[in-house]
Amino acid sequence: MKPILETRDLVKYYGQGENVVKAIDHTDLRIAAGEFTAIVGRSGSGKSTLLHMLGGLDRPDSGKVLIEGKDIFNLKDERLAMFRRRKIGFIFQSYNLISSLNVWENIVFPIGLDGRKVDHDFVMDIIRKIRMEDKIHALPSTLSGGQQQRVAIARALAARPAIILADEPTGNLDSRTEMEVISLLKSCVRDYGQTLVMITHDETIAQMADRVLVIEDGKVVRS
Amino acid sequence: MDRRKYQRVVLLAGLLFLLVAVESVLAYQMVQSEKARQQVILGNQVTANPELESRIVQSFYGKDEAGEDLTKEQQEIFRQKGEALSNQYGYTSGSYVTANRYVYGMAMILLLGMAGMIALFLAEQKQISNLNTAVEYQKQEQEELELRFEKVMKMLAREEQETKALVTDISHQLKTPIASLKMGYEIAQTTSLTKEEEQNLEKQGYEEVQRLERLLESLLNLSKLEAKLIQLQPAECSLKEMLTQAVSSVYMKAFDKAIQISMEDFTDRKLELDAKWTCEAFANLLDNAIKYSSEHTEIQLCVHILTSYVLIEIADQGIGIEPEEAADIFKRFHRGKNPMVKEQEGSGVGLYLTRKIVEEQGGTVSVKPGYPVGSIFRVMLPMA
Repeated sequence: MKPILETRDLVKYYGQGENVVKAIDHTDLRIAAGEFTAIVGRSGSGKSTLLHMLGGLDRPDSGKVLIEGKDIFNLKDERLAMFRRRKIGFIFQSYNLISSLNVWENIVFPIGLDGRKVDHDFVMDIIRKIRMEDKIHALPSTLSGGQQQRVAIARALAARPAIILADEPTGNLDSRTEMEVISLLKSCVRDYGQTLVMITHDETIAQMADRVLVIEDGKVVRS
Repeated sequence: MDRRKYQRVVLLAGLLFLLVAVESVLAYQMVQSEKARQQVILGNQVTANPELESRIVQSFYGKDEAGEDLTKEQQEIFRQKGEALSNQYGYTSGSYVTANRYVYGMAMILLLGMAGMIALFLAEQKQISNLNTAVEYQKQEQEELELRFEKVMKMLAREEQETKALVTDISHQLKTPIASLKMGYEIAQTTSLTKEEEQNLEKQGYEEVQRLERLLESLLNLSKLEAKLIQLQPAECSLKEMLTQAVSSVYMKAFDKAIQISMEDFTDRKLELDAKWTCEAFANLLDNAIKYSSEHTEIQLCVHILTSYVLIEIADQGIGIEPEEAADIFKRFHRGKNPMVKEQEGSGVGLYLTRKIVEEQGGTVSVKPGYPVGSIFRVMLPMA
């Protein structure tokens, strides 16, 4: 099957000589379209670095990242940024909302950045899904952690990217809110036919994935 | 799109035509005004010098005294003389003020027209590039759709194969208890047995029948899977009712093992789900909890109302699940490695079916270790 996301012999080392850290060590992986993949590993196993490479946030030392068969690191920085905005939605542990913009503005901000028109109905649909319809004018500072992460999810979904990359999205939330956020993310991704790659150290979350990749010392050891 | 393009071409042609027309009118008027000015000069001169009338008219139309056309040399001499005279009286800017105005006007209009056309052209270019982006988008979307379709087809093919293999497997498993029962009856018919032997045989027979029953249950689950669950029909239903029904469906099994099932009280919620299938999902989880718990233990149900979901937790005090195995237990046909799991009859379909029912309706199911023993299954169901 043709994968939507693929790495080929990906390498990223930090440091030099004896202190070299092999964050990604000749990794090959393939992720099929529409799949929910969890990447599991201890802290320092290279999962975040891997996710950054998959999203084109960081360039590898060698190897390729292919999105829909296209080598993204062949693109110039500017083209890569554009490609990233259109193809990939990011969700981070720290919600990274812009504090001076309200909920609605935060959600549609990346679409505006890309010079695209906001599909009002679609965005409202997402906002209803995350149950924030009566909070669209609220500023992020007035929201709870769970609510802020909901907004961050909506922001990632609103631009209709093919791929959502999430880095420990529920790391700061309590167990029940965490379950809820993951369930929400999972059902949205399913409804909109997107591909979800999520980093987590939590086995409970990994169970909800279609596929679990275990990373140790920069290598995929189990998939 | 074609019509809009046509409109733009018409607009461009119209603008060009308008430009030419305006410029022509201006040029014509300029010539007219120049002609009038010259006639004024002629009239003026003749009025000042009436005695030189014929000479002035002749000179005005470029002739010499004899009525012949002026030669090149003569023209040059007269031009220099005229210029010197103009300079002498301080008229350096010439007398073509009106004509100059026309020229400026024409130049301005030409510039404006050109600018308009360039703007139109640029708009066209942008339109084309936007169109190209849109086409690219569509192409990508189509590719994604194709990828997804391919995935589903592969999955279906694989599922079908697995199901066939399992049906074969269960059919073979069915042979053993039947053969054993048959043999038991044959022995009972042909040999005279002691009381003790008879009792043994009877007990064994009952066990075999139970095994048959469980295998049939597996087959039944399989056939449900075969039906692909397309019959999920969401309707408003009460969560409390669903849970109560699920508990009562496994009540006898729990009673046999003296397992107590308790449910913490909660305010009921209306959900938009297929009650029958969702109830089945809970019954599967409870059935599992009973199967893998020892006698005289407890199973607790707990409901939490969250923002978009209700969370139902089913905690048992059973054998628990190894964390490494937790991600696999919901997979189709997965069977645990624990010897106690292997001992139990089963097809590995129950939890898969549960997950399928829950996820088809936008929920999730997961498991975490209980305290201090057992497992806690957590079902998230969306609230309408």
